[in-house]
Amino acid sequence: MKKNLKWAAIFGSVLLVCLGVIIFGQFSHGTTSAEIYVDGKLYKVIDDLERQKFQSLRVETEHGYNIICYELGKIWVSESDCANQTCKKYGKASLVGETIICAPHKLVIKIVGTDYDKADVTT
Amino acid sequence: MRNNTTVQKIALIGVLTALSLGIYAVEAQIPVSNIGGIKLGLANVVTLCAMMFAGRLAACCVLGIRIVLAAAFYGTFVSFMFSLVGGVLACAVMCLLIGLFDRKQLWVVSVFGAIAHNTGQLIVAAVISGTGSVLSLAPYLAISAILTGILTGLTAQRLWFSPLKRFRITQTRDGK
Repeated sequence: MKKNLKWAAIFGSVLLVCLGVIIFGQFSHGTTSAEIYVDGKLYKVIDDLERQKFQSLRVETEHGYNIICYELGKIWVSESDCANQTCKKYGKASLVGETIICAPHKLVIKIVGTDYDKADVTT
Repeated sequence: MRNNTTVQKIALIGVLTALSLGIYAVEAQIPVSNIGGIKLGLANVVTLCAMMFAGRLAACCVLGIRIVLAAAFYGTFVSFMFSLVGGVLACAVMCLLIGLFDRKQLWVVSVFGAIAHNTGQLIVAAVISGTGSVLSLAPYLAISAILTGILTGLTAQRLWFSPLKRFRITQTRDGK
């Protein structure tokens, strides 16, 4: 019983640290932007994701295509001709650090936080 | 008598592999739309049970056959790589740890297995996509590994402390 409690405490604190990292990541920035990588290279950056109206984007890779939609801080893959469809199943990503991976197409969509300073310079 | 144990073991491996393949197939049909494509990993309950009921080697067999068959039936090469690396890492970690904990702490072994599994999948994702940027998923995956690991571990533990226990294959039974 004691051992159970010990391990519960260890895993509980790891859980809290991870939650802390995620929550801290949400508030330590001004706006969010989405980075789309194809084959390890930055393909496109969508700035100011929160203020985007609904839009869809067709990304052609050498292995196939993905249709990426984004709207008001959320981004998701609506269509893909890849075999396992994990990217579609992922659903809508909106939290900083969330990453949609379409492994067969080597496509990665990542949400990152933009610093206040940077946002000020661009506006 | 020793021969008898081997036959029992092979039969048990067959049954458990079929069971885990079935669970895997059903689980793949659940349309989850949540962070990180997180899965419960219910098939891991069967791997853990195999480890307790028939030993480490049997668990490795069950897992290996399940991964190959699942890839052949439902998967692609990419999904095969994901489950292979995750599965091998998880199995190695659980094989090492299962001797160090007693059966009441099985859920701890399961959590470490789940963490190893997710680490493996993250490594494959980083290698295939060619960017280290997928590492930002790590805290999400760690949380999911702990929660799902506890769930599958407690389920396996419950099965061990149940009448099913009499199906276990022990070396003592063949009069050694």
